[in-house]
Amino acid sequence: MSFEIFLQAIVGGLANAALYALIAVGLTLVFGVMRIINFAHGEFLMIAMYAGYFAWSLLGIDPIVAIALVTPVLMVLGALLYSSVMRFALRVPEINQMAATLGLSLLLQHLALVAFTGDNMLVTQARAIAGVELGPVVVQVNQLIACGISIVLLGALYVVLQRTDFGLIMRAVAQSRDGAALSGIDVTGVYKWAVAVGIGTLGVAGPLLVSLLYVNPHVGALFTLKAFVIVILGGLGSFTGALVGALVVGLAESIAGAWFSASIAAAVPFVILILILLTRPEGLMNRSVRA
Amino acid sequence: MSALRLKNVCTGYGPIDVVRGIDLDIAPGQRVALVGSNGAGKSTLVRAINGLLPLREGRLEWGGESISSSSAPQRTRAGIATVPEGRLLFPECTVLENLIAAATYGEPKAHRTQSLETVFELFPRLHERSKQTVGTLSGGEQQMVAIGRALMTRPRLLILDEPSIGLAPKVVAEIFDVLGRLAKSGFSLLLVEQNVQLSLRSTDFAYVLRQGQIVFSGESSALLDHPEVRRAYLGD
Repeated sequence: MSFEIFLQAIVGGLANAALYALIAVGLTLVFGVMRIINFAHGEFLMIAMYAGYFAWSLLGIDPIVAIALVTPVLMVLGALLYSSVMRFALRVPEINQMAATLGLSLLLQHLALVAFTGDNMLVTQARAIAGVELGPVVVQVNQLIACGISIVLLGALYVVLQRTDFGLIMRAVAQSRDGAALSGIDVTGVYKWAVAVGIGTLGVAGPLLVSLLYVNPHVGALFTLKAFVIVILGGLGSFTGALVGALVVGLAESIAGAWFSASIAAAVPFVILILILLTRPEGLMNRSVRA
Repeated sequence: MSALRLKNVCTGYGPIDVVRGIDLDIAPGQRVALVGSNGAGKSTLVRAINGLLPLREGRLEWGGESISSSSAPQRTRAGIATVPEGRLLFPECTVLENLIAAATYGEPKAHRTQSLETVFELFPRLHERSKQTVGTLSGGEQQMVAIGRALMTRPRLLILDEPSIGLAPKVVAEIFDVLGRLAKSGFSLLLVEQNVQLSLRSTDFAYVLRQGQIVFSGESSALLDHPEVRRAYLGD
């Protein structure tokens, strides 16, 4: 592999990592606050991708503009997810929680199949084939936009979690549910907001992703697994862990793709998952930062 | 009129009723002790009062109104603050964040600042360590944060569950000195302690819990001289 190709792989990997991080923080935020892994996370990304696609194909709205419409819709869907499934899941054992969110994942996939068929759909704008030259490296414009918006949103989320009362009460609930209740914090309200924000981040990621990748009813499952690997790698419930995990997975995938093949690259996150579970199951950032 | 009144309260875990038939009154400004040996049901009763554990039977009144079905945050906001056993702090947050977290629910900023000043006046060490992560503090300092956090909710009743457990005698003396000063400021106090002597000396009235039921109640000074209480809890 030449140095130029290696550099190209690094830059591509970094760009993917930003988007992966944006997808994974929603999963880790919900887990950090509620201690429930939402296996239907990717299906909400799929819904956001379809929303971005149809906003463009039916209404002619640019996916970047569509973010402003799709994000509030996804936040409402997150609040509905809490009210309809997750608040009940809190009262049952973990295995039942997993089964409930996995069941929801399959339900949403099949509803999407009925509603949208199994066809692949992609936003194809003129800029989709445009690239920006950065020395010996060329980056797709859409990839650059997705990376930039993801980094801005991740930064904003970090500031909200670290510097605002809203972020403080989320961190408080994540660290001690009973302690928060005894501090007068409306814990169930915080849960609802955590799921709304966690799913809401996908309202940003979906329209960005559908300019880079085909959407079909099964696309979410792949991203659920990838986000799961990232949050396990970084440490479940850890915001900064999700960033580190996304960086590792994005770079490893991209370098493996350049070095070997796309098939090997697809397997890389799961090799990482097995290695991390065997050697450091608490994750790289074992401190449960949740911010 | 009582500030807090428990009528025939029963609660527990799973199939077990841990406490039953509990009648308890705390008047405004009164300092009340709840004593009993390990496993008597003291902490379970505290959880029933602060709302972390639902009642199975009976009624809980606060200022004459039923709060039996209110949630824990609602009871805290109504003026019942708890310093729980094990403290239940937010270990990765700073001292200041732990305190502020308890005053985020629509309290005017002026109240928050005023409450912070009060807490830092009572525990100057917390002011010095306000930027320090709570998980890195000593046990005594963490207990001060727990008491401070409860005070940030501007309570009318402060419940302390085992505040002396695991602490050095000097720290216990420091904390009880603060509790004494707090009691003079007018709010009610429910002190739950295994250290019977300490709790009876720090309160006006006491209830003795044994196997989930109240077996004695009376003025703390009288219970200190009660032969059965002395034999069972004071090693006579």
